[in-house]
Amino acid sequence: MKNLLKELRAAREMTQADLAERLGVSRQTVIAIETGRYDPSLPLAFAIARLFGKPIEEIFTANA
Amino acid sequence: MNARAMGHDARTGLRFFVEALGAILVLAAVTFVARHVRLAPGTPLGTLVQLLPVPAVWLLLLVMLRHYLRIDELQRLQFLQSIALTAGILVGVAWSWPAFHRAFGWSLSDNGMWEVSFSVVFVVISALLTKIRTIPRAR
Repeated sequence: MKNLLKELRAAREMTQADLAERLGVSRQTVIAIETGRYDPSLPLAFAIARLFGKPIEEIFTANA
Repeated sequence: MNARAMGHDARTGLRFFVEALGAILVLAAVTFVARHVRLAPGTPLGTLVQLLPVPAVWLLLLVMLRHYLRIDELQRLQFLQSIALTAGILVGVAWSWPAFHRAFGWSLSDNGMWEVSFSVVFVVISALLTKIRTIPRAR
């Protein structure tokens, strides 16, 4: 999956550590999601969507 | 710096370090007592002293479980993958060892061989998984 996490985070001038803290996950997890090496679980994806006030499908899109 | 001001990683890491250190110290202490306190075998006190390391070993497992419950989903995935791969590799070693034994006469030491092997393989696999995050799917 591709995602806009990095762009959304940068637009809000948040660091990876800030975002990790807000989501209750490690910074490594934020990095892994941003670089596309890890697809988050649905609960975490919902938490991300809620945090940025956008629907999940606007943040995460399928690769194909 | 209080626990809330620390990041998720530092907070969970510090808690695990403190709890694991405590459990290891307890295990070391009771193991020392069990090995060096000579009481008549078969007596209730002698049996009790010999069994002292058992709850300490399970305390260490409890510490691991508490850590597992605190870490996030990616770390849990990596942790489980590391344990599964390590167990698989060691089962492979155990099952193939008789062939080495027959071919070269190698024999396994009983002196903590599996514990040491598990630890080494687990650390190597954990390090590799941390680098690549998760095992990628085959294309």
